[in-house]
Amino acid sequence: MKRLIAGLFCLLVFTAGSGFADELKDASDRLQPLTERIAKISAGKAADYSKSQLATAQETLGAVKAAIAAKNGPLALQKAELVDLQLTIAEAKGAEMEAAEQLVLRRAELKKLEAQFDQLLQTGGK
Amino acid sequence: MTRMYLFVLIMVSVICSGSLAFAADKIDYPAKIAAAKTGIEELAAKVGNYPQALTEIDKARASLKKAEQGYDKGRQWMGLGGLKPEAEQEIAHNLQMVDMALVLTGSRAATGRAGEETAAVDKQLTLMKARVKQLEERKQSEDKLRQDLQKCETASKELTTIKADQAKLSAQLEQVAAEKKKLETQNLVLADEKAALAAQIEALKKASTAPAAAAQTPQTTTPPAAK
Repeated sequence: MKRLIAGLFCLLVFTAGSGFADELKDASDRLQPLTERIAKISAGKAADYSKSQLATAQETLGAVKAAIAAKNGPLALQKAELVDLQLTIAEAKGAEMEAAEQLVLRRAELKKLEAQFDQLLQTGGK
Repeated sequence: MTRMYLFVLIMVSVICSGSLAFAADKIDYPAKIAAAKTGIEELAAKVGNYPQALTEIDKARASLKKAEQGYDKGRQWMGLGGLKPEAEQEIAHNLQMVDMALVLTGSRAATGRAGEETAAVDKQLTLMKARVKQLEERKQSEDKLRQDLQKCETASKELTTIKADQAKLSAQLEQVAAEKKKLETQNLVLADEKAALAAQIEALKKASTAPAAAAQTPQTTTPPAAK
């Protein structure tokens, strides 16, 4: 009976340990793509519009590394998930600002054309 | 027996008060979850019909559900003693994910709105470009017509001058023709006179040659007489 209980306990510890190990591996696997993504966004135009988001993502990536070093799989995975979302926000902010910039440019172009049109109308009969 | 009841009552009171004191120090996750839920629904109501934003709302709802499930699973016996630390971490993480999903939703919606407005401005731009082009073409054609009109006016002035010159020349021509006619008449008269004079000269010539012949004939007979 004691052996059975000890066996069950070992199995439980092993299962829990392997679960943590899986999470740690998942988090470690995510590190490289996330680092590359940060570099890619930082090199792109979106970096001009989302500096703070990128800095936060960089900080959170540091937290992922710390959690991996501390062998805290669940925390590492959560932080990796967070970095992923922060980078998505950085990209989205970049796209948002670019869209806003485009809108401003188009409006300016329209205003210029309207002025040209008015001028043409005024000088039309002369 | 009464002591036993009293002891149990005291123990329960101590556990409850300890639990309450512990809970007071902890973060109020139900309130946070409720606030997150309200935040999601408020944003969902005003975000508009942008597919990308709606996807993020769904993700926020999923994270909220995870937080709620984490809270339900993480509560210790009968809610006493608060949450398990790992559950607390998971709930905090999921609530953070909700917050960020909402930020992302706002950004996606703003991008969508800007895209829509840009499309509308693009339409206006196309229309305005066409109008400006039309007006410019009209102006160009007006300018050309004005130039043509100017040329026509110049040509008309030249034509008037030429007509005046022509009229003057016609008058001169008529005068010259009349003088020519007069001269021709005079010429004819003079020719007639010339012919008459020529006839007179012939007559005179004939008349002068006849007496001379008559005088020559007696002279030829005279010399024998003189002998």
